[in-house]
Amino acid sequence: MLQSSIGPFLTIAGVHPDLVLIAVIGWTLLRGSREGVLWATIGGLALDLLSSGPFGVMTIALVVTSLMSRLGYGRVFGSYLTIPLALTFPLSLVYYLTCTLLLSVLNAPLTFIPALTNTILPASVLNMAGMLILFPPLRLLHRRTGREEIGW
Amino acid sequence: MSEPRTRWLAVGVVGALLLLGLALGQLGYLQPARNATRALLVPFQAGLTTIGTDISNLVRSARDLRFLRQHNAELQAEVNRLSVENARLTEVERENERLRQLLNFTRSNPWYDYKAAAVVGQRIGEDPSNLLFSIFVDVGARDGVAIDMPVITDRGLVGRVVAVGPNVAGVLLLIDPASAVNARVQNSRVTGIVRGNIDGGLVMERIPQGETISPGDIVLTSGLGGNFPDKLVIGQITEVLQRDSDLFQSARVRPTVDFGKLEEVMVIVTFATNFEGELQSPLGEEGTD
Repeated sequence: MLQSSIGPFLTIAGVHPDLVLIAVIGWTLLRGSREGVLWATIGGLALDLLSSGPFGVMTIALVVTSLMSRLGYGRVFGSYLTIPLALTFPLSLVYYLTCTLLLSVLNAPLTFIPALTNTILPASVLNMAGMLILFPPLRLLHRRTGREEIGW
Repeated sequence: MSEPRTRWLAVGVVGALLLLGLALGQLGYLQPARNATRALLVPFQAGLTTIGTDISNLVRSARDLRFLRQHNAELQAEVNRLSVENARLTEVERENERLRQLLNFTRSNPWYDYKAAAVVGQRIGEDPSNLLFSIFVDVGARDGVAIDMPVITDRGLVGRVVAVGPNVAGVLLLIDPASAVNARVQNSRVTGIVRGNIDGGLVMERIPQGETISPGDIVLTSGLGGNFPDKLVIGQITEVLQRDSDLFQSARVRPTVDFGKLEEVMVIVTFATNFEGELQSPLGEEGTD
């Protein structure tokens, strides 16, 4: 809901930052893949419910991205924002490329180069800016809530 | 001469001079002297007047400061209220203009039954993905909207309804890569299929080789396949993509609808679509949608 509502306000050059993606990457970096995948699943299902595309595309892409994000887990504490920012760009590429692949198979063929230049790269850069803003509150939330064991 | 007598003498002389002056003044003999005196004193008088005025203003300003502050606050509140009112009226004026345009369109195309709908979602109902182009409008099954109904504005075709709830409908925009519409070039009558592109533009495909199309040509819906009404404006050709080795030529089309600024759209509720039949290519091959 938040992404669908606020995203268009943040549209620059035809793309908007993917708030759910940023939150999933940030949370996985802070809490590890177990919680990251859980929230990727919940966030992805919510996005798929609001989307006009084939159901499950964004859930799968978010889970894949979360699993890739675990590579940075445990390395963010000393670096403050450097590692989250550095990882957001390649992880965004992973997310969009997964979406593009799935949409091409399930929905309609997407021409790769225009998708890359018009959407994927600009959106990945915007996501870095989004991470710059969202990571500090995520870290604060992480510190306030502490690590919890969540079974799923 | 004793001192009291001298004092009385001085009073008497002054009194006599005053009486003399009064008499001379009444007779007009003192006017030149008065004028000369005033001329000498004017600069000093002016200076003193200025100082006095300044002091007076200073005192008055201090006294009026509270009143002025209160008055300023009231005026500021009035300015704020008028600004809000002005913004509201501007918005109403723009909405009025858009609705007038929609009304003119319906008057010039009376054979369809239009239902005006405000787009819920340019900001609150857009597709959350950057790779998909759809919006949500605030009419649904309660208003007679059904899946596959065409959606238009006065500027042309917007897309078609792909999801319907009781009071909301999802509209797949023409520029979505999954969208495809049978189209015709207005001048040459050449037909093809217009598909959405990820860059937010349109591409007209399956144009037979040998047909002449040019940048600037207007592209309309052809009505073939029964999926959309015919003669709805789609866009304008900006570039022809032709290679001799290909079976078909294609063209880039700039949509006439500004999809980034959609506010009100119309759903054609009486048009019977035929999406079961899918798209029909100009050579009889079936397209996909």
